[in-house]
Order: sequence, then structure tokens, then C-alpha cells
Amino acid sequence: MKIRLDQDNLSLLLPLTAFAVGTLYIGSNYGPVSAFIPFWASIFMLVTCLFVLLGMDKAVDDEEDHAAAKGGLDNHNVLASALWITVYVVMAYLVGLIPAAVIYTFLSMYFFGGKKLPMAAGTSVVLGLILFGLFEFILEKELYKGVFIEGYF
Amino acid sequence: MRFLTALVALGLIASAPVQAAFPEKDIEIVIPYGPGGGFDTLTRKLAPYLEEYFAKKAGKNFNNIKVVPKNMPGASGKKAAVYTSKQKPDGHTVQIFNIPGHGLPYIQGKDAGYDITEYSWLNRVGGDGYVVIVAKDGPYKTFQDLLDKSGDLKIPEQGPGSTSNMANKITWATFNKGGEYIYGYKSSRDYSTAVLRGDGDVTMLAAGSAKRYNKAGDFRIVAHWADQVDPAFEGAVNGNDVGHPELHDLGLLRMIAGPAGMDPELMKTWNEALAYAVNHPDIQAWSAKTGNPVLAYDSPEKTKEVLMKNLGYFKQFSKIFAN
Amino acid sequence: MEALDLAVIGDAWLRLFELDSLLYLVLGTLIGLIFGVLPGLGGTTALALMIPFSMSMDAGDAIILMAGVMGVAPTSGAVTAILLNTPGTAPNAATTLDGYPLAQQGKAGFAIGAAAAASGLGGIIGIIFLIAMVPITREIVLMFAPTEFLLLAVLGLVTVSLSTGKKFVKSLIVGLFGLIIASVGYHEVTGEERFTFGIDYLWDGFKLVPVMIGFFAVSEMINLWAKRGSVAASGEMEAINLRQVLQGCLEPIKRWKVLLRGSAIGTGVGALPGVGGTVAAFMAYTIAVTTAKPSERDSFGKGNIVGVIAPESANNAKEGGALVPTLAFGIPGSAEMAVFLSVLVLHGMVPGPTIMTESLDIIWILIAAAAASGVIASIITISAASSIAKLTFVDSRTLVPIVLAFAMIGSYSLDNEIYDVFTTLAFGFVGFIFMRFGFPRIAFPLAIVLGPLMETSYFQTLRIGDGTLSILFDRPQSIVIMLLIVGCVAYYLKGFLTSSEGKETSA
Repeated sequence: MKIRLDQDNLSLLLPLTAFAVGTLYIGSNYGPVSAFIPFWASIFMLVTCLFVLLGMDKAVDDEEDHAAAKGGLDNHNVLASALWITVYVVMAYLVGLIPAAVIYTFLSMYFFGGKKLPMAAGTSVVLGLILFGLFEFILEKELYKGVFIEGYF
Repeated sequence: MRFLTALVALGLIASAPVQAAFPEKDIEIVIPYGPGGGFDTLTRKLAPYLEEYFAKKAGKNFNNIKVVPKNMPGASGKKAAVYTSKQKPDGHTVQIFNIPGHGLPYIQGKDAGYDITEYSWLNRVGGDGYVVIVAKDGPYKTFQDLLDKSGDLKIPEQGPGSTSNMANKITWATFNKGGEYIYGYKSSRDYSTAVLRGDGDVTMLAAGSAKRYNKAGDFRIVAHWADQVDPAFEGAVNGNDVGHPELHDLGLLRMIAGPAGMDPELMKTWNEALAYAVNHPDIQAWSAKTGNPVLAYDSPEKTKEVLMKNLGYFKQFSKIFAN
Repeated sequence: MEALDLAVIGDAWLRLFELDSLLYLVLGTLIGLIFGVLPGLGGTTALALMIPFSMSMDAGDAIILMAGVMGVAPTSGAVTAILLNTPGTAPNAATTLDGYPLAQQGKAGFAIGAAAAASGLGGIIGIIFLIAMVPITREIVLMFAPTEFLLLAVLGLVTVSLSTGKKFVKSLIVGLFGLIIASVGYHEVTGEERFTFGIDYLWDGFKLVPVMIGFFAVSEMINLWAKRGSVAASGEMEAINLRQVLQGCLEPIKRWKVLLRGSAIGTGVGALPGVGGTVAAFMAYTIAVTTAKPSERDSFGKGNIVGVIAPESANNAKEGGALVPTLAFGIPGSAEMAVFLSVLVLHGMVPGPTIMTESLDIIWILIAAAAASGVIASIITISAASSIAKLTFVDSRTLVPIVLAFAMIGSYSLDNEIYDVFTTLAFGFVGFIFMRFGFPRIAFPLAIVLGPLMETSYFQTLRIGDGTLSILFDRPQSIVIMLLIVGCVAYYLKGFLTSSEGKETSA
């Protein structure tokens, strides 16, 4: 086992190590029974993170895993994707789950997917109708209507 | 029962013009636990009869209004209690409560986001006394045998703060008998089965549950804290036999309340509706068959009185529950 | 054995074929299928919604309706697990591991066929095991104490990490992360609040369903959007046809040992109250990996059909098993059973030791209906499979928003809590990050489910054993499980060591 700093995974391992340390610190304030899992889990997590950090878990053919994991995605794409996914949740919070679904689907298909206007609009509206019919009508579950609607809940 | 129903019917005919406005829309009964438990089952069983009552009362003004049970589990019942306390006291939202369970913060003097004494207490619907159970094939044949055990008793339980746990703590403290609690069992069935399996020595159950679980005769009920020991519990002692009749005040109450500030006339209507449902022959038959005791009172005042008496009893022991 | 009275059993099946019973059966099955497909819903929600309807029905009809719903959700849940890496119900999470890679290779129809067949057959095998266990249900429940639950939890966690092969350590890290996440909330045993930071929402801890939807579905959507293209990165849409689906259906029969093992694990684990379908499915998966030939092990997680058959047979068989403690003691073996129990009580039946004598006819109707609905569900799924599977060729710009909408709404509709949607998003990020760095995610859901069980059982065991763990060595059941743990580790290490010795480069 050679010891070599695992630079590829550094950006994940450091936060994980910090997480483990934080858990250990907060967890140690609890009573002995409550602290049991947080204590041992965080200790083991520190040990295993260190293990990986020092490259001790690497076997011969790890280069293929490295390539596969990144999957040819550069950070820019990933960040943009994460941001766009977040946009849905923010929209849903503001205007409600179903309206957000309709708007979001339209934007995704028309602006990002290059689909024609009738196709994008049609799909979005049909989606909205299906969601409404299924959840509100058949299942009778009141879905979140957005933060602006007063008197809700 | 029929007489009572007729009396109630007469009463509501007489008072109909005053309460024509209620109910205006669907009524929500909040259940503080998930589907499938005792509170859930009882509420769902009663709901159609409440509908029946309100329909009869409103006469032709009744627009097919439904009484809808709504599960709101979370934080061991706290979430529902807080929700209910914040609703409008117009009679369209009520909740079934676990007493003394929901009263634990009051008993311990802690703040939980709701004040158990401030709801509009409408009626009781069920509840039960407690029994002490052991395994039939186990080493303990009588209540005294348990007291004679050298060392602490091992008691499987659900968790600190459940009513049966409080019952256990009070019982054993009364006799200065130490108890080592094995928490973590998921339900009363689970922890009573644990006694059968030998995980622990003894535990306590609501009397109705004990009857239900004991149909195969696996358990031995050694004590029943009630003025009259149920005939199904042959050989059990009660509080009088052991010199502690005050133990008969130990009990679980299932009660219905609305948010604080409900109109007294509205409370009375609800009280009568609940009494109607509880005393309905179908419900009585179901109760007898499935061993789920049901009971209602004839006024909201009596309900509040019983509530405060129960809470007062448990409050005496608040030091034992300090966890 | 009076319980196996042939006349009663025969009557139950005849009853099933009456017209109104058949209608209820098909209706229940359809409802179960639809709920299974939509993430966040699942069998328990469907059952809970059925309660008001069932109350006005005759007891036998109510049971048939419920039985139709109960075991079927995991069958359709496998469809979304395979197509979109989104488990329709929590137990389907294990199916994503190999089902989704198959979809990516353009073989979605094949995977769905295998899953549907495994589900149908697994469900029936589970029922057969149940019938065999009927005379001894009581003894089974009394045999398993917290001691055994503790060891089973350890077995689950150990085998799941081992199954990821070279990534064992990284898998362990994810599992430990899961254990910590699972410890958030009110502690059942001590009454203490852990890691809640005064936030009410965290009082009950993170809920399994929103976390899983985020960890699997949302992370996958982030990946898909960034990647562009469609789920099926290779293969052709035309290749997905009924023939491909039927080829998939034959796989569980060809690999009958996997099917049988998976069903046995499902029934066995299902018989242990509180452990549940998610654990059954993952255990079946990891045991399939552990018992595979060392040369085959690497193909798991990359589209090995065994990785679909094992969990799917387990998660349908578990309902058969879940009936064991339910009927014997009225202790629900799964969340669906808890709701089902209340339906029984509402109809005046008392679950427990006497239900076998008092309501034997109803019980056999239940068993017959459960078996039949599993078959019907498989047939429906298989028929629709080739059309549905074509979804894997839909472009990400169309697919992602639609899936996201269903996922978030599904998450929300669990408890009508918008915070669940935020949780889903947060765990979507977490899951994606793990995915991106090549950390296997399989240990996470298992840690969340088994962690609390392990912890509670550990303390119960200590208390029962008067402060020591010596009780573990006093019970034959415990010793058997400990040997299983050691056996799995040994078998695995042996394969690991010999394969790395003989290997020069990977193929």
C-alpha cells in the first residue's frame, strides 16, 4: 500500500472529514446512550476518510474508475445543472408545485431543448393537467400553492 | 341506549334553530398518530356516526357534509396538538387526544408549544384502566412474586413518556420496587410479546388491550387497577387488595377537544354528537367484540373535570417522570 | 393442522372468482400499481386512502381490495427504478443499481420484463413460504429478540459495504454518513434530541422517502441534465419490443436459484417486524453479489440482470412474510400491514393468535387475493413495458422537468410539508456529489433504515443481558447469524484476495 495524497477526491474528502469532526464535537455533548452512534460513526468516518485521503484504498486498476466517475462532465455543466434543478424548487416555493411544473417544463423544453413552441407549450400544459387531475382531483391531496397565497394551512 | 339516543334527538330538535349554522363545511378530526393505531381506528369508527348526528340535526340544510379523519403524526403527538390549538374555534376542527400522554409537558412543567388545559374539551370517547401482566409460563404467579424478586424488575416498554410507561413508573414507585426499563419496542403488542419471549419480567397494558392480546391465554394478569377487577382477569389483585386504592386513578383517557374559545352552545352540540356516536348500538357492539372500551359523558364540564383530575393525579408523580 | 383446512382454502379461491370480487381485485391491483409508480406515494399511502372506502364494504370484499393494493406497489415501483433511477417505493431502491444501467444500455424492456416476472413469482413464493409457516408463526415471532435484530442489522450493513468490492472503504464512508443522518431527531430510548438545532422539522429526523427521492432521483436528474442526451446512452429504441420484454421474463426462471434465494430472504426479513421491504431488497441484492462468482462480481452495478431479479423477488415476497407476525400477534411486519391491521379491526376482526381460529376464511381469502394480484400486476406491467420503456429515449430537456415535477410533488404529498421538498433537493445534491466522486451510494439507504434499528437493539440487548453482550452467545439464533456475518466476510475476502492475485489488468 503506497501512501499518496488522493488529490482527485480531496474536494469531497475534506468536507466529509470536517463533517465527521463536527459530528464528533456536537455528539460528545449528548448523554452516553444518545452519543453512542454519533461518536463511533464519526470516529470511523474520520479513520476511513484519512485512509482514502492518503490513497491507501487504491488498487491497481483505479484509473478506470476515476475516468468513469467523472464521466466526461466538466464542472461548468454540473454547476449549471444543479442551479437549474434548484430553480424548480424555488419556483415551486413561490408559485406552487403545479404552476411551477408547467412553467419549468416549458422553459426547459423551449429555451434549453430547442423544441418548437407548440410542442413545449402543449407538453407543459398536459403535464399540469395530469398532475392536477391525479393529485388534487383523484387523490384529493391539496398541493402547495405557493408562498403568496394566504390562508393556506 | 335507545332512550338516550331518543333523548338526544329530542334535545337537538328543540335546539335546532339556534345552531342551524353548524356545520357549514367538512369537519376535520385530527389524529395525532399514523394510520393503524388505536386512536386512528376509534376515530374512523366514530366518524360516520358523527356525520349521522350532524345530518339529523341540520335536517334539510345539511349539504352532505363529511367528517374527515386526518392523520397528523409527528413529534409523538405534539405536532397535531400544536396544529389544533391554532385553528379557528368554529367547531370544524377537533382532535382526539391521548391523556395523560399529551399532558406530559404540563405534568413536567415544560413548554411544548401547546397548553393542554386551554383546549375546548368536548367529550371523552374511550380510555381504560391498567393491568400488570407477566408471561403465563414464567416464574411469577402473583403480584407479590414480582415484589419479592431480588433486584430490579426488567420492564420492556415503548419509550419514556408513553402513558403505560408512566403507569409502570407510578406503580413500582408506590411499592418502592426498582425498575430497569428496556425501551425501544415499537408498540404495546411488541413490548408485551417481549415479556412472553423473556426479554423482561413484567409490563403494563391498558385493560382492553390485555384482553385482546390474551385471547390465546399466553399472559397472566396479576393486577388490575380498578375498583372492580374485570372477570376476565382471574386471580388478579386490585388496589384495595394491596393497600393502595389510589392506584385506581391510573388510567388512559381518549378525549376529543377543539381549539380554545369555542362557543359553549357549540361545545354542547359536539358533546352530544360524540355521546350519540359512542352510545350507538353498532359502536357498542364493535367495542365489545374487539375489546376497545368506549365511554362518553353528558357534558363538556364533566369532561374537563375528569381531564383535570387525571392530570392532577399524574402531576403528583412529576418527579418520577423527570427524564 | 386445522389452519390448513382444504375446504376453507378451496372456498376462498372460489370466492375470488366471483364477479364483484374480481372487480375489487383488479381495482385494488391497479391502484397499487399507479401508486407504486409515483415516487413518494407507494403502498402505504394507497392503503391509507382506501380505509374510508373499505369501511362501508363487506369484510371479504374489503380484504380483497386491500390485498390487491398491498403487495403490488413494488412491482410498478421497479419500472421507474429501472427507467429513471427513481425508486417508485423505497424497496425498489436496490433495483436501480443494475436496472438503470440496463436502461442506459437500451435494454429497459429486458429489465422490466425480468423485474415484473421476478416480482410476480417472488410474491407467489412468498405466499407459499407463508403457508408453510402458518402453523409455527407464533414460534417464529418469539424466536427473534432484539439480540437477533442487532445482529441482522450488522449483517445488512456489513454485506452491503462488501458488495461494492474494491470500493469497500468508500462505501463504508457513505454508510457511516447515513448512520449519522439517521441519528438526527428525537431519540426513542433516551428522549434526547440529537442534531435538531431547535428546528421543529428535524424533531422526527429526516424522513426516508424524501431523502431517497432526492438521493436517487434528483441526483440522477442533475446528472442527466448536465450530460444531455437521454437515459439510454446506447442501443436503439426499436430494440425495445415485446420480444425483449419476454426475454427478460424468462431470466428469473433461468436463474431460479437467485429467485428462490431472493424470495426466501424477502419472506424471512418480512417476517421480522419493523425491518421491512427496503432491507429485504438490499439484503437480497448484496447476498446475490456476495454469492456470485468472483469474475461476475464486477459486473454488478453495471447492468447484471441478477441485480434486478434478487431485490425484486425479495420485495414482493416480503408481504407474505409480513403476514407472519401480523397474524400471529397482531404486530405489523411492515408499514402496509399496520394500516391493513386497522382495516381488520374496523371490520370487527381481532388480529392475534385467535384470528386463525375465528376468521380463518377471511385469512385464506386474503392469501388467495394477494397471490392473484401479484400475478395480475405482473401481466399488466409486462404488457405495458415495451411502450413505457421507450421513455428512456426521451431527451433530457423534456424528461428532467417532468420527472422532477413528479418527484418533488411525490415528496411533498407524503405529509403535505414543503420542507420535505427542500430535503429532497438537499439530498439530491449530496447524492450527486457522492456519485460524481465515485462513492457507491448503496450503503446510504440501508444505513438510514438499519441504523436506528441497530442502535435501539443494541441497548435493548444490553439491558436484557444485564449490562453485557454475553447474551449474544447464549442464544443459538444469535450464533447462527454471527456465523453468517463471519461467513460472508470470509467468502468475500477470499474472492477479493484470489482475484487480485490472479489479475493483471481488468478486461
